[in-house]
Amino acid sequence: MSVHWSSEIMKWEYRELQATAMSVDYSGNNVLLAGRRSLAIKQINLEEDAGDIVKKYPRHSKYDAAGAEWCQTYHGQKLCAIASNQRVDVYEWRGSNELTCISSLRGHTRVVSDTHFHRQDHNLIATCSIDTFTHLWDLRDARKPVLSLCAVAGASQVQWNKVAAHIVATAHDGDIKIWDYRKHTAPIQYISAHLCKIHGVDWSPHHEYQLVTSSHDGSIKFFDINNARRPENVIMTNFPVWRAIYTPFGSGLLTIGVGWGGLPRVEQAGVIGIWVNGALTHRLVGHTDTVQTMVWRPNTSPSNYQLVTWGRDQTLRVWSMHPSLLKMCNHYLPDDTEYDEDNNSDTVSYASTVGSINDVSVADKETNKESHKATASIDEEFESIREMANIEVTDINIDTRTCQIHSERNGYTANLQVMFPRNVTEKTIPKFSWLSGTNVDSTTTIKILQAINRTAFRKKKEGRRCLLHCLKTLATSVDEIPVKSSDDSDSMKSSQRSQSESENAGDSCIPFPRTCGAKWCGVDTLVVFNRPANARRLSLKHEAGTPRSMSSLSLAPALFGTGYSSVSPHATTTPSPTNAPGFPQLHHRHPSNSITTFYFQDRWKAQGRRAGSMRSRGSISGIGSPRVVLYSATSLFPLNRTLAEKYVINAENPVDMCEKNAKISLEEGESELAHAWGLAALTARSLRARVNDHLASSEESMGWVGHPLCCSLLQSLISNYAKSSDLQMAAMLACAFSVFNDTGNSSSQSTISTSSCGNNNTSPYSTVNQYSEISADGWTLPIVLRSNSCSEAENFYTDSSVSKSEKTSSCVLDEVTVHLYHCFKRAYADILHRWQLLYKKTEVMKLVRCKHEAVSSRAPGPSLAAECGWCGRLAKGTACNSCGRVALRCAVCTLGVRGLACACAYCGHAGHAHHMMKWFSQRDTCPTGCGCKCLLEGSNVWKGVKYV
Amino acid sequence: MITVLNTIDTGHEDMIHDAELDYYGLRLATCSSDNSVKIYDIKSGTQTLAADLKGHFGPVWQVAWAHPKYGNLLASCSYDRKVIIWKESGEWTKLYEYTGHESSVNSVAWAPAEYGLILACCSSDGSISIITNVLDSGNWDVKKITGAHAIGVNSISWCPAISADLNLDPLTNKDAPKRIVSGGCDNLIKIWREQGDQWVEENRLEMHMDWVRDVAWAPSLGLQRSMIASCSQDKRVVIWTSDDNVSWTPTILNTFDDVVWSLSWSLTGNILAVSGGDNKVSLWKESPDGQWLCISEVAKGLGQTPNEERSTL
Repeated sequence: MSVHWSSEIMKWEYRELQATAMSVDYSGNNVLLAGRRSLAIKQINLEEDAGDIVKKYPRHSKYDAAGAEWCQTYHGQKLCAIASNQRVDVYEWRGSNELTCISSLRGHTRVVSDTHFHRQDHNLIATCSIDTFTHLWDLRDARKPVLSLCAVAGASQVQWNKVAAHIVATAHDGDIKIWDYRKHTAPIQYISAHLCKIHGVDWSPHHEYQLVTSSHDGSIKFFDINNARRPENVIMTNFPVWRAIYTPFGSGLLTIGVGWGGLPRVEQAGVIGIWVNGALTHRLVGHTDTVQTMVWRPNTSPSNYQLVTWGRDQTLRVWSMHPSLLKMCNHYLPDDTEYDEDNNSDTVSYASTVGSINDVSVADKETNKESHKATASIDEEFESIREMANIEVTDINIDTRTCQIHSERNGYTANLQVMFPRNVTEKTIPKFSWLSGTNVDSTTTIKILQAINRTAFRKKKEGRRCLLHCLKTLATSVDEIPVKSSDDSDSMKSSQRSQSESENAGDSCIPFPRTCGAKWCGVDTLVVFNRPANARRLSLKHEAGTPRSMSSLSLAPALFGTGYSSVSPHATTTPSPTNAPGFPQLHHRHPSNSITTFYFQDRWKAQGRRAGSMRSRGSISGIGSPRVVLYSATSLFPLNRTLAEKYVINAENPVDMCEKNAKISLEEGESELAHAWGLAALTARSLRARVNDHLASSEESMGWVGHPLCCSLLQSLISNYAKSSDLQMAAMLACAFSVFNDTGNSSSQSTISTSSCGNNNTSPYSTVNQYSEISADGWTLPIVLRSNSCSEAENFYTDSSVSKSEKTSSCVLDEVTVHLYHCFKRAYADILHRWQLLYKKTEVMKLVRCKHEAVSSRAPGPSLAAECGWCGRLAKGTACNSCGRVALRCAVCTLGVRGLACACAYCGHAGHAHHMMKWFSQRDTCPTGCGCKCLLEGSNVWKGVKYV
Repeated sequence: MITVLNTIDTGHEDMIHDAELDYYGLRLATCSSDNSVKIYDIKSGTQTLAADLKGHFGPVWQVAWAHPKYGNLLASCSYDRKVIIWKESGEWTKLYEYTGHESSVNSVAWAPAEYGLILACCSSDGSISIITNVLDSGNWDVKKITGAHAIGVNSISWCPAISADLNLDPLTNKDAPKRIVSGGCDNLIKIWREQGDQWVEENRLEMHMDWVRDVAWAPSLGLQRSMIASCSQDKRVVIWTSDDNVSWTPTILNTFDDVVWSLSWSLTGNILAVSGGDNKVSLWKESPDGQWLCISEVAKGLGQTPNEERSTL
């Protein structure tokens, strides 16, 4: 699942250029578009309105530009290379806006497929071609290549390592070759990566030894070049992948597909996918056709990464990265004030300090000046770290402004390269990347890197040297990695994985946390929790009301200060309980200060300053720990526990029950209920009278007794209480007249059931009736009497259809009502259960008659059957069917058991209860000598049995 | 009318996101952004911390007690994509951990006890999981509704087992059709019914104009009418009623000042508690003529409630 984003901030369309290649220059402000007819340089500037500042330079070639590339070094920032057919032309873009070809690299015998300027030395460029060669050229003498790397298959890609200066990767069909140009006769590594053609190769910006490949077979593979037999990770997509590039921040990946291949809809052709931890989390939507090139805009501030893309739809687009994405990729965000400043200055001014391209001289002068200062500061930086414990500085190079650091702790080796960029601004932090030999897994390395960056940022902001502090952060971070031990390395991995997963969830899809709520619990308790009254919500400029998703938290700049711990569950290093003891107890980074800070920002800020960090647990402590309040809302519900306790449930004698309950409710001061019970008692009495009258055959008393109101009065009473949610009363009344329901129920089923009810009778009146049929249908009699003579009653019952229609018209309740009353009783039983009035509950549940009970057997539970002690057959009941003797033989006295018996569930031996009791009071083995430890085994057997 | 029974200082180090009393109302479970779940014994105005459950690596969103006939079980769900079922047997331990979701798990709900020990949970990865404890083996069987709601599922609630269906045994209701209602980021409410061993979408209710934050199926007394309450980011609470569980009629209960986060029906299904982003709780009751009235004003008016109460009700 992924979120669609249309976060493009700028878009231009250049149909006339017919450009096939695009590149962004070192400053990030100029885009080179190369087509067959012309080259164009476009300035992208966010502030000035989108006026088209495009400079066009005609180009005369019958070949398309296969590649265009700006040199990405400071000194070479005016250089660009255009590959067309077998030739590579290197142009220089002079101050007066001229684009002059300074050299033409001719050496390939087939079409040049890719070019790549060296990342530090602007005179060095690598070109590759399907003629199988990869040539390295020195632009100062471009007549022939200085080096040629030879392979068997044609090369489609060439990429310089982003960290190590001497490593270059080339792609040949499905294989990758890694070269060290100092040893150019053979590749240092050969990776059989894919079965299909590799379209794209990208080195990790953070690791010297990691790269990602994308192939026509739809897979994206991550390799560690030092251990390249197997990819570190594979992402399978359902489309041929044209490019897969790392995000410069954190651990994300961007992909574009080839053509429309595999994509379900044409509209998806131009979609750029963003993958975080192997899952497609976002899509950048905008291009209407395949995207040909995507590059990260250089020199943007760390909180404002931008992607520049050129698509086959002839549009140039600039995309911004959503802060939540940065967060998801584990990218640190600059803290609040930093953030503000960056906002003010914005990318353009940021980039413009690089030096306005058009007047090199001025820029040069400035940078010279600055570089003096910078060199001095670099010296200081390097000096500061010389004497650090636990950290070994293996290489310092003032010229390239790099140093390499080696640190070994807890069995982890961390090799880090620090590169101070050519001074961009005072605040630019050095670039840290991992070198080969590091044995920390890549997820952790990314996290450590972000921690270091964070420190660097903070220190730089304060205008201080940062390197020392960064290395301290490195040391503590490495210390915090759980110690690797062989046996739990697997569990480690899984826990780390789950942690990393949990941190990268797409917060934009997760609802904003509830901080206030009310829940009805138990019978009438309202559980309420909410924010303390002094909580004030952080106002977000762009949103009125409470935000929708958790990603909003990241939009509030104040929330992610020094800590960045954010709302993500920072289990970074929290050990899982399953881990071995002896784990270093790691800091608990507070998981979601953000939600607290969202409401208590003032307090948090103050505290953060005082503490100097927001790691201090209990940022909420100043507020007091959150409280839950339980409210009793007894009076809102017509449910009364005291009454429930006192009420008499005696379905066998409704009159008595109603009268007693009337008295009870009166005592409790519920006169209204007492009145209702009085009415009910009256009804019950009259109903009973009817039966008695019938038996006495006194026809004259039928006047009131047969009054139809009796029945409907009762029904309307119950339904009235049910409607007003007085479940207690409704259910109790239903209970009182349960007898009623039974008869109605069973008689309306069929004539068969009436006869079966004879044995089963629950009616208290059965004894006074002569006929078993009548006994089951006690309440129906009056109707029969009224409509027919007594003698006809028997005939009447032979015809069940008639009886049904008759009954529904009168006192007997129909099925629906009976069912409803059962439901009331059940619901009331649940309430009684919650009140822990278990006996009352059972009494009520007894009256919920299961319709199928008579038909279906009881719920299967464990039952015992004796094996005849004499003949060995299975006996049902006490006596054996075949031999006629008492089946069960006591294991102690060997006599037949007629009364209470005890049996061992394991060995099955049984005996008189009192014999067995005596036996086992002293011993624990079976009296038969079978060797069974009955006390032990027997109870074990029962353990597994579930009681229904 | 409403009195404070107890005020529990939870001792959580961060905001709490849910609190629930167990079946008997004797224990309170709370969960918080400090990644922990706490259980308190509540007795006549006092509280004792019974357990502090740590096992989640992210803010814990919701807790749910199972019916006590299955033992003391508590389910919790968290941002860390996990659902944990805790069990008390002497002390509280993890009984089961479910890790089948790819994003934050936003809600957990136990099925009515009649169906067995079944837990439903839903996640921001757009899916709903129904986790059934298999009686014989004690294993947990998982069924997943993938793509239940685009973007994410925010809330889930079970249809009560008491049903107006005559063919069902009123004693157990075991065979009543299982239904679930879910609300998600696609602004929809969907009703799912178990059919064979699959869950199928039975109905979708469209009314809300923004993310649905909570859905709650009202307890049933056995009457024909089913009710579902839903609330949303669009600040509205809607009551859906149906006589046959097929066609549903919406009624707007109210439009609130702020986002509405949670809903809760009273046990007898006639009072609805509503709470939202404005930190307020209100109680609603349907008058005999079908109008929904806010009754918490009444509760406040009696003045029996302490100041604390006023801030909330």
